[in-house]
Amino acid sequence: MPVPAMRRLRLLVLGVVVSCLLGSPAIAFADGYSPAMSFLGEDPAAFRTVAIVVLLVAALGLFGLWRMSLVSMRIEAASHDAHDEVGS
Amino acid sequence: MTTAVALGELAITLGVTIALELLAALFFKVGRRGLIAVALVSVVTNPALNVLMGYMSGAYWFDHPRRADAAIILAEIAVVFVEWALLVWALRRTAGSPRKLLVLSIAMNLVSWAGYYVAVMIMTMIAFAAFPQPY
Repeated sequence: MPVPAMRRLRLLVLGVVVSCLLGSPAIAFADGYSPAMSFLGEDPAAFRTVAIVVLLVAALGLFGLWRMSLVSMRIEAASHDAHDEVGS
Repeated sequence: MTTAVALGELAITLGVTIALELLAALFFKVGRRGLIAVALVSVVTNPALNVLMGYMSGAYWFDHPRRADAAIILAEIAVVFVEWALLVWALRRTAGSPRKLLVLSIAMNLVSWAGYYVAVMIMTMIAFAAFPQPY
């Protein structure tokens, strides 16, 4: 895919993600927020603890994916090298 | 709800989601690394999405079921694209083209979403059987 088209696609995807992430709470909170019915909404300390644990777990997942991306780059580079050797 | 119960619920939801998404990923023949990436992507997005949904639930859940569905669908669309981007970042082209990974991301989320509705339906049936309504 040409570079400008790739950039346009990335911008489009980013636009969709940001719009959906902003739109979802906007729809939910249209009539105002009632924490009494919400999941841990009455207990900010508990909510904070859960949020910190979730962020740590997400960071662990991202770390794993980052390691995988390094391995993928190495696999791709090795396959390119093998392809070049066959070509020459 | 205590912190431990909330974390337990999030862990169960994550476990079920990973199982369902791996099941969907098996049909795409992405290999062992692809399956590990699918599980890690769920670890990143699923608890965060559930906390967001839980936090928002006080605003809509009981009064506006249609609005709740709309909010969930929008959040799921965002998750499909975020998971696709993470899969492409982690696997590059070692498990297939970006287009294949987009279809995989859509399939994973459809399966886990369907699984969620089936689970809710079963729990509702159990609740009605255990506590019959007086009418």
